[in-house]
Amino acid sequence: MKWARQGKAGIRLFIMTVMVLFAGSAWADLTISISGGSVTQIPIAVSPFANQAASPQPFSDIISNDLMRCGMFRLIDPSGVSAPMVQPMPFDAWHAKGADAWAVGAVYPQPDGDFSVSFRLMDVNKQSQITGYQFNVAPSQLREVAHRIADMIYESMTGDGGAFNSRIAFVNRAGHYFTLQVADSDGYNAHVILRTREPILSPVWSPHGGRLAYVSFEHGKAVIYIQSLVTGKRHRLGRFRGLSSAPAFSPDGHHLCIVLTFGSASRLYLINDDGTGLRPLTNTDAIDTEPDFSPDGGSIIFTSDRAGSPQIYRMPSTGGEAVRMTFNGKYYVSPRFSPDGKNIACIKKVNGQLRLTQLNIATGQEQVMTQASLDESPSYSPNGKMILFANADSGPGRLVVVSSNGLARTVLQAHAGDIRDPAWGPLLSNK
Amino acid sequence: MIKKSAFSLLLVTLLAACASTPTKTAATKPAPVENMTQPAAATTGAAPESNTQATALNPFMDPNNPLSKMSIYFDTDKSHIKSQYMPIISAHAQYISSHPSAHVRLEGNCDERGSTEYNLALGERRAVAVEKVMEADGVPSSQLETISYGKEKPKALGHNEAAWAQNRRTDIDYLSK
Repeated sequence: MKWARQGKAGIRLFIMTVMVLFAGSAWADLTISISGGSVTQIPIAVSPFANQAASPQPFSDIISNDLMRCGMFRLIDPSGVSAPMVQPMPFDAWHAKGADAWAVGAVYPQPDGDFSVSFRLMDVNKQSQITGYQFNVAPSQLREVAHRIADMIYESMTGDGGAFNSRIAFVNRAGHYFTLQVADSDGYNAHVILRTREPILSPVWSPHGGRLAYVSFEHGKAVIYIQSLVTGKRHRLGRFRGLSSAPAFSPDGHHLCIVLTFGSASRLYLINDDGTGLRPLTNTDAIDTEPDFSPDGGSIIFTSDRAGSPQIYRMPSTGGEAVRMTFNGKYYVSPRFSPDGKNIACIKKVNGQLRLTQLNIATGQEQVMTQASLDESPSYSPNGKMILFANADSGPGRLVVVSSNGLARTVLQAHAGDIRDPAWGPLLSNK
Repeated sequence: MIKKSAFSLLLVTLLAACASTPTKTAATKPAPVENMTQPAAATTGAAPESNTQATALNPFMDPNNPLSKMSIYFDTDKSHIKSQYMPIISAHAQYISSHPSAHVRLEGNCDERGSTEYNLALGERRAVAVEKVMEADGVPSSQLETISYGKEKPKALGHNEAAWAQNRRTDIDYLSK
């Protein structure tokens, strides 16, 4: 049943790609289409792990869903072919199904309550092992192990770094409460970091993932806090007459770019992470907001309406002239650098609809990534291959992941409530 | 049933009382009877005297008085004040400047579309736009403060233009009158 559903999802993805292709040429010269033809997806099968049904987590489903979400793989239905961990292995049958790679594994409880998880990734054509690993972990770590296995498969097959063993942060508004939550990269394992009756906005991760900076209204106005995820302790970042918001950590984690709003002007400032050393970066009377550091720390991109409508600008992180980067529409907001610094994810208003868009910095080319109306708050996965954002087209906000190549779009695990302001954190140690 | 009639009576009293001039002088004594021009004024005798007095102070309940309007609405992504709202802001400005104890918080809001942070800044700009008109009308800045809730506190919860229009606004919130 499940695999039949995934087959249909594959068809939907194809249709979506074609729609993007059509839409791409419709609205502007600089907008290019997503070229489905130039992207090859690796055909892979992930067999249900031996004894998986008796374990607390559906291993092969977690791994398959991870691989599906990144857009780099085509998942082959594993049903009907045996999945032994040792030779002889049915390589001919996997080859007949079209799989180039095949993952097989087992999960067994140990006498001490832990689980032993082993897996092997096989090259179907060469009939040899690509990689394999064994873990002994507590039941609470089983999902993490599944994500680590997905990362190992990803890294072995693509040569790039993985992203699945990472966390996301987001704000959930449910009833009278706002909660700041942290979850696994697939939306599962969510737990509450902060709960308040007043709005919470704009969480961002410190470079190593140990802290979150966010905006809270618990004092009646927007105030930035930095909170340790290890100790739970937090501190208010400076005390200002107006609003403080839109925090962004520098790549070294020692200072932040923030926005202070006095009167009708919102300006960028740098500040040390202990709240000292405030220094101005911009001084227009417009709205400058949503700063983000380039991965090398040398520049900052931000949203500004200094030319009349919100557009994306770039300036040196030491201050200086800001250069406008977007010219192809009247509303560009929420810019975020890709981890390689080559692209920017943002939200662009296209025919009145707010859509996730990727901008190639070198060429100026744009890719509109969705056909939605209310996309917001994009952020890249640690390896840049996926973009997480919120979408409110069907009412309450949901978490959505699209692959950067445009081939996969996944709505993450549903959470009761209105989900906002997601932010993807760094990769956790995989070794 | 009895409660309901008492409430209607009070309401009628309110409407009638609001016709009086909302000045500080009026606040210190019962509204003059001759100001109660509406027919309903005949029933005011039935209401407790203290109520009559309290309602005479309150022009904010009279739908015909611009002071009863507490929200200024804006166009999408805009923060300039449309001409139809100027009389409302001016009426409040006049009240605030003639009541030195009055303190008002101007609360800027936005609809759900677009970025959280840009809307937070835009909400502040909408609050400041109203503040500037009030200051130009002579309100001391010490009697005013601004706050932006961005798109975090929508008044209308729908996902359509009707709801969005309700949420693009600055509320005039009297912390004291």
